[in-house]
Amino acid sequence: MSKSEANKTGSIRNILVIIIMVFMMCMVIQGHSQPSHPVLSGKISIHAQEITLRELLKIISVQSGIRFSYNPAKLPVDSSLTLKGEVAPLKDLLDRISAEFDLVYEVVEKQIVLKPVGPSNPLTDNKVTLSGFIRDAESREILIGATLFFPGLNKGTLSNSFGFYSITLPRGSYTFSASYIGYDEINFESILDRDQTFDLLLDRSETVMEEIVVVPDQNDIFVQTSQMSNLKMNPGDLKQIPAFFGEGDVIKSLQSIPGIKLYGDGSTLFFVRGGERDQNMILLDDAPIYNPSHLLGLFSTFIPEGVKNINIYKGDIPSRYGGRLSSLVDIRTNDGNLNKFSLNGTLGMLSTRMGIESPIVREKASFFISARMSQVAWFFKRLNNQVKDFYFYDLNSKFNWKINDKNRIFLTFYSGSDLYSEKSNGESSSGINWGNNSLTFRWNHIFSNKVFSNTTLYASNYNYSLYTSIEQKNFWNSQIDNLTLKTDFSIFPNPEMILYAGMGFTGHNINPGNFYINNQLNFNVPYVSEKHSREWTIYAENDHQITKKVRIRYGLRMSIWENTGEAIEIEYDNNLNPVDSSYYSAGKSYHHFINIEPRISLNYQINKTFSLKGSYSRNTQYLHLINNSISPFTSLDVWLPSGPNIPDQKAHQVAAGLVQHFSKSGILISGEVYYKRMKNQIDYVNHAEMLLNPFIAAEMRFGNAWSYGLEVSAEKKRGRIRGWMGYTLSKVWRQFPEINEGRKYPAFYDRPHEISLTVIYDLNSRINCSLNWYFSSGAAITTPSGFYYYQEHTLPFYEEKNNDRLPDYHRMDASIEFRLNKKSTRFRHYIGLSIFNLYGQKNPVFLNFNKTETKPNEFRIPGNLGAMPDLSSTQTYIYNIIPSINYHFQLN
Amino acid sequence: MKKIYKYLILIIMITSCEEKINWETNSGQITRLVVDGIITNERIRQQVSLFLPVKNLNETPYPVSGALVVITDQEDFYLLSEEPGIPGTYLTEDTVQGVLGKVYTLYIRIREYEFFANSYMVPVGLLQKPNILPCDLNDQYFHLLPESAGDPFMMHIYIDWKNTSYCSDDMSCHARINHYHLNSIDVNEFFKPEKETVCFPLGTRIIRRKFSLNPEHQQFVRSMLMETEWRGGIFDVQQGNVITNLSQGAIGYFAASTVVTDTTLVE
Repeated sequence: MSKSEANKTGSIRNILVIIIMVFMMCMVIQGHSQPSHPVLSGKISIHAQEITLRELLKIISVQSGIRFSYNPAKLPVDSSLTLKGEVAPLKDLLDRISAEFDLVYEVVEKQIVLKPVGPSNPLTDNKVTLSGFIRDAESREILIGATLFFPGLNKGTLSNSFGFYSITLPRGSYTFSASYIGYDEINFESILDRDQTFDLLLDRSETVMEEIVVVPDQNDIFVQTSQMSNLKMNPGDLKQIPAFFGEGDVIKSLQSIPGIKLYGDGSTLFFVRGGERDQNMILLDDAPIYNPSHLLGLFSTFIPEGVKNINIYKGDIPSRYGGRLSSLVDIRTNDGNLNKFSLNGTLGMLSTRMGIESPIVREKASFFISARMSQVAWFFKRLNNQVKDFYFYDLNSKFNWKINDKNRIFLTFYSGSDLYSEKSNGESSSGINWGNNSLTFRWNHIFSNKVFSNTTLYASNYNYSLYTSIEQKNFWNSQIDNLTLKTDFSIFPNPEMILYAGMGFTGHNINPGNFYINNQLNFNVPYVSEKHSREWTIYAENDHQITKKVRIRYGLRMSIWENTGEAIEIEYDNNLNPVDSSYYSAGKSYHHFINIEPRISLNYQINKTFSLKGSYSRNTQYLHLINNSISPFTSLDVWLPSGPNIPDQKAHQVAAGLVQHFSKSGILISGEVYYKRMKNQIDYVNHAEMLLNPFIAAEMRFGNAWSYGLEVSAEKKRGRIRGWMGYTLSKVWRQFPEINEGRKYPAFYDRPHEISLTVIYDLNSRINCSLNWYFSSGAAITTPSGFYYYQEHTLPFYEEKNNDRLPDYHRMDASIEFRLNKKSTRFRHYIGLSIFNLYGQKNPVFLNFNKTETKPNEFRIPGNLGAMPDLSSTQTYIYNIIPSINYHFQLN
Repeated sequence: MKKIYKYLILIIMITSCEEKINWETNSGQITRLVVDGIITNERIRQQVSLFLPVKNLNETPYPVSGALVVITDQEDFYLLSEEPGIPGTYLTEDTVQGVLGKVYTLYIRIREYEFFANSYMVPVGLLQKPNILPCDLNDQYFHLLPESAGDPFMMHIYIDWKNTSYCSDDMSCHARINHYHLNSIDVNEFFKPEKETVCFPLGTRIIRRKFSLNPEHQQFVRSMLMETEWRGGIFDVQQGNVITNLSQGAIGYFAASTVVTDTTLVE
């Protein structure tokens, strides 16, 4: 059998496997959701107000033609119930009868068998399910990760990413609470004698300043869950963390989380637990954002006012997510106020932001739109009249419609772009442009109070263009886009279990960078074949409370990756010399990968406030950022998929940790140790040819990496003084047979010690101030071990890769915010002042050894080599002391 | 296009700065032989220089004396003798001339250590008319716009204005510029750091020597520029040792080029 035939057979087998798994999953769902039998779909008209069961069954028989089979001695046939005159589906009527008379019914062929509830099953029969949504009382915005807690049982649950909760408990009378950060905790008293569905509405806290959390909230619940390495960030936090030019930044704020390292100043690139920068999945309402940067990385793309929730996984990523080795940043946007109009805006030094939300139909449908536009163009146009465009923008919009109690849809659109161009000669202009676009459609459906589903269809696109003539459409372009359809189910079969299952399909298209003349592919320069891939995923996960103290979450994710035409694949010999190429026609499958990714985590709860946790996870990655840059800025990004010449990346991670919650003080302390091993990591030969190179795979080298570390964090989220701190001790090694002569070397992002500290202080009801300080060991870099001369050039000689380190990094920022209104009214406005890099620390991002000082503090590459130029070692740092001011208003 | 990036850099650099630092290398003496040699089609004394690397910037290299240095095209052997007074510099007789189509081998023997390198010539393109433009600073001074068309080449430009009225100090009235034109496409070339402009007055004599580059030589030059003129921009790439065609761990390059030369008087 030929290779292609084998692949084809494998593909068919894979598809069969998927179909079987889908079928099995549907069966599971069927078992829990009791979908209607065809005979139950007919409608019954009842006019009587009070009627016995016997009479009611007769009426139904007459109207529907369905016979009932039951033992009158065992059923309360003479008991009556009250019905208003109504027309209802038979199923609804039977459900009501069952609930009223403690019956169960079963459709057997064309008759319905009625039986009294059988002998008591202590696991299920005495249980009731409480389900619904947890929402903001005012806007009806769903709250993600809100807590429902029953102190008497020491049990609770969290609302999922659509605000849905479901918990099954013994019948009884309960006091329980619902809480969410920034909201007042609400206590309820209720007699739970049957399944109930209701939405819990929480009021925003009246405290003047929203509380800050960058460590897990709802701490008692966090102690109970088996989820590890997970943090939630409230967007309200971003406003209070001092930021560069006062622009609250989702990505840069991650720096304060132990285990997450930013590339350096001026960058949105980050590394998590020893993983590369392309190993982080950033999702905006489920759609991936490939390059979340503006102005080369000075700002990230997300508008803080448009974000509802940020969930960060540094490991132990739930089975429903995949595709990256190291982390997941799951960003959910605001749904839009279902009750009233609201407006907010921020005027900053570099950009202006505006957000608007309003109901379309009260309590039913609403929208949210937020936008940001830079305002630096005027400055550069005055500086040089050749400048044509110089801006970046973000547009984020969302529409949601609650069709009924069981169905709701969401539509999210995001577009963000940077465009910088200048008039080069005559009518022509050149420039660069990059941008992300995404469109997400989601449908929430509640099958029953125990089965919740979300079906998502999304498209995402990232492209980068370098124009030599905008008017003539001459440009270099790289692009990646995908279209995904997926369904996720949350099933609550019994009190101790939550099942998650789902499947998805994604089509990927990649242009790894080509040159176009008049918008047509230019064949005068090397053509780099476009790549197309299909990805199938299916997963199941069970979150299981085994005993009162032990909770385990185990899951399995299977992914199938197929490379398909139209594509050209190069074949290489053992020395990576290209020897042949193969052309695959459109749609033809020519290579595939199958990976099984087990994920398991365990929580052993010592007592109500202290627990021990452990986890293991395996992750696979098929998409790779091909870039050998050492710059903190985002440059010409090229993505490539795994295929015949590029293996899939794999990672195994084990982690163990503890969580201690001090209830009285509100302090949460957590610590984790981890070990992570990564295979098929990518590095490059020296001076690799990265652009317009059809043989790019020959420039790549594959090896292993491993990292380990200890992360400790402490957080206090209550009181006038709040804050958090973290410490990380870690190591990251990489080893490639053909790099550094096969010896292991520390990764660039190997920074053994890291400390972060954030403190927020509410001075009074109108003023709050905050301070953060960040320290890390210097990044590992390659510096020359010596120099030699060749034709008047001074060349460096390197003995070891990453043999040296940048100086230790540290920085302190401070901010203060004044509310200008004396009282909290519908219209509130604020002035924010911040100082970034308070004490002016010079943290270098580049070291160079090849420049000469042509004037005081002006360094150039030497032009005159006649008299041997006097070269200097230089460092470049990005930030000096940066004060900023911004104005923010809010109208509710 | 590059201006656009300059503006972006300007935003970045609003608060940033490049400054001099003292950075000590963290290694001992590197014991690698450095070879800087070329044979051309000119009838001149062909030169090969042998040195050891230095530990820090601007240090004087330690010459390697007493080596046996031979260039051969498999038919003829040209012995290079060490130039008296210039240790580490080895020269042929002034009758040696490389020929297009031959493969030249450099053989070096230092005590029991032997080193080899091979190279060959390809034709060089004609020199274009020099493009001389005024310097920004002063209309009385000019600079040479680099030639950048045709096949890859290397150009050594010797600029001399000692015999002009603008020269007050003979030592500083000359310059040497190396210019390269390659057919590679690299991000860090596109966004390379600014280079010092060499300005010269009227009456300056400019001698241009244009060298051909065979594909391997071009790869070497690209690799060298990655570590010299193209390093230090905002999209820098990973560092790495410059490639070599020398055996046994020696570094540097032995090249063979055809050369065309012209002289221009700036009037």
